[in-house]
Amino acid sequence: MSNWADLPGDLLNVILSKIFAKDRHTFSLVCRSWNAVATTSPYRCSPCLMYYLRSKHMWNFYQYNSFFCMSFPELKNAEIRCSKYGWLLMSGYDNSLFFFDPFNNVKIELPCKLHFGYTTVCFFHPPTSLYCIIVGIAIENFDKVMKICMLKHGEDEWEINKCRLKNEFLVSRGAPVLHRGLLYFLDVKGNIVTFNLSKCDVCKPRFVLKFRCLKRRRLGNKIKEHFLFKIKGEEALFVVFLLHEERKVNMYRLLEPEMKWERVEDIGDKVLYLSHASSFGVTAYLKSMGNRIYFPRFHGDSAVFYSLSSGKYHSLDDDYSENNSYGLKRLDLAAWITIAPTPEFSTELTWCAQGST
Amino acid sequence: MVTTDEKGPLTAKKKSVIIRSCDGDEFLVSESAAVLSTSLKKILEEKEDRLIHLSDIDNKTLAMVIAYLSTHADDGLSDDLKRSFDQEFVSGKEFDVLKYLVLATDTLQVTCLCYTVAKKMADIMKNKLVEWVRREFDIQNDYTPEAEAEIRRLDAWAWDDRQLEDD
Repeated sequence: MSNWADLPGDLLNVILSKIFAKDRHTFSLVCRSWNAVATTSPYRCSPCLMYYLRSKHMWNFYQYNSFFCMSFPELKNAEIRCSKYGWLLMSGYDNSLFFFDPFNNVKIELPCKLHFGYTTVCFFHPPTSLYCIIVGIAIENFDKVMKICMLKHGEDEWEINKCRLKNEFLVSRGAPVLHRGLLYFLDVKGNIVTFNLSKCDVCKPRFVLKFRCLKRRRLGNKIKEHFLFKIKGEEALFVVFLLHEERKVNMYRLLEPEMKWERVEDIGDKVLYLSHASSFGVTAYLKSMGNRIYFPRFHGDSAVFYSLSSGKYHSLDDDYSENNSYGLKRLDLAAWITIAPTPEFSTELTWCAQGST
Repeated sequence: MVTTDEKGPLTAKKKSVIIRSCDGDEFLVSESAAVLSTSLKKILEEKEDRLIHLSDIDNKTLAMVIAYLSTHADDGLSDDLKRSFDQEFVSGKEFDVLKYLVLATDTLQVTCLCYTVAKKMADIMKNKLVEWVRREFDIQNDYTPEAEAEIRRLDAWAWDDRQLEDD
């Protein structure tokens, strides 16, 4: 008489592959043998790609070649602007902003709306942290002004900083990165802007615009998509540019203080997950699965990655292999999301401390 | 006690095999249905024997698996019909029945049925408390209270991206 607890690991793995979100936590807690399967599951260390399925009015999560569907009535008409630490920063149709944790169904409303013109908005540190800060970027080419707005945890008003622009400037859609206290973001030609989030350093300018960052400057006009990111365990900043209509992949490392892009041809056992709302690099679960870049693109129902070894786009579970991305399904509004820990607190989360008293 | 609704494909000339359960019941199955199981296919390729004895699957479970295989081997049925058959196949079954089914799919290597049953079990566990799962599946909690509290607290499923944090 075999027991549920003694099911072979392979079978438990198949069952586990059909379980999502907090039900996985339940699965681990049932008994030791189930937990043993859970701790070695590839699902534990694979981020999810989250996107809205308009046809079904549901949100789809793609993870390690499985799809999970969830319904969130509270996310009606909302758009993912930034994704980090298992949290999404979202904006409503009226430009209201809120944080949402889809795995624990927690929402934190923000006290102010995003002003008109802020095309980029991101956040740093988890929304539950006192260090959490939301940053928005707006470019007004007509007035030649760049504006950066900041909202610190607990505050209810944007702090707005302005910088005069000499030339036309178009900010890229790639999410900004916070690196050694500076905010880094790109223009559409791959040039870098840094902004000091704290104003304590009076002898240095807060805004620094660096041009001619690419050695082959003409490439700048060919960039169609930009992804700026950090890799776990690496000091430098990295960028991936997708060039031309065929989306040729060029990866670079930022040389500082020269502020020049240096070409990267190989990332070893690292794997990159890139999307407009979130991009990051980690060590691959298996070494053989390293040196890859995952984009929010599908071939049929199969995820597509770019292999730096072969220089081609491949699909995970069929024979697709091409050196361009023509014909792939592109999910521009999708975001990679990692799973946030289940909160221990039961009280409602708020942004401003005074709101809870 | 249990016999399959072994109608066989309409093209009558197809070969059949006999499969015997651990409790001695014999089932006549068309070869086209049997080969949907990877293990049966292998056995049939290796030897001419038309009688296959399965020492660890009881007659009740085997009858269900064979009904499943026969349906899926029937070219006359559309994919939609097969899908709704799958849905009905796993619904309303007792947990123990599902357990023997999933174990049988493992032995016989019937991947699509294994996935169907696994999906059903995942659906059963959806939004349930740990205590409910343990009770309904009759699983002994073998954690010490400290170990359980530790797992509850740690939440191993959460992604460790501390090093990716900003400064």
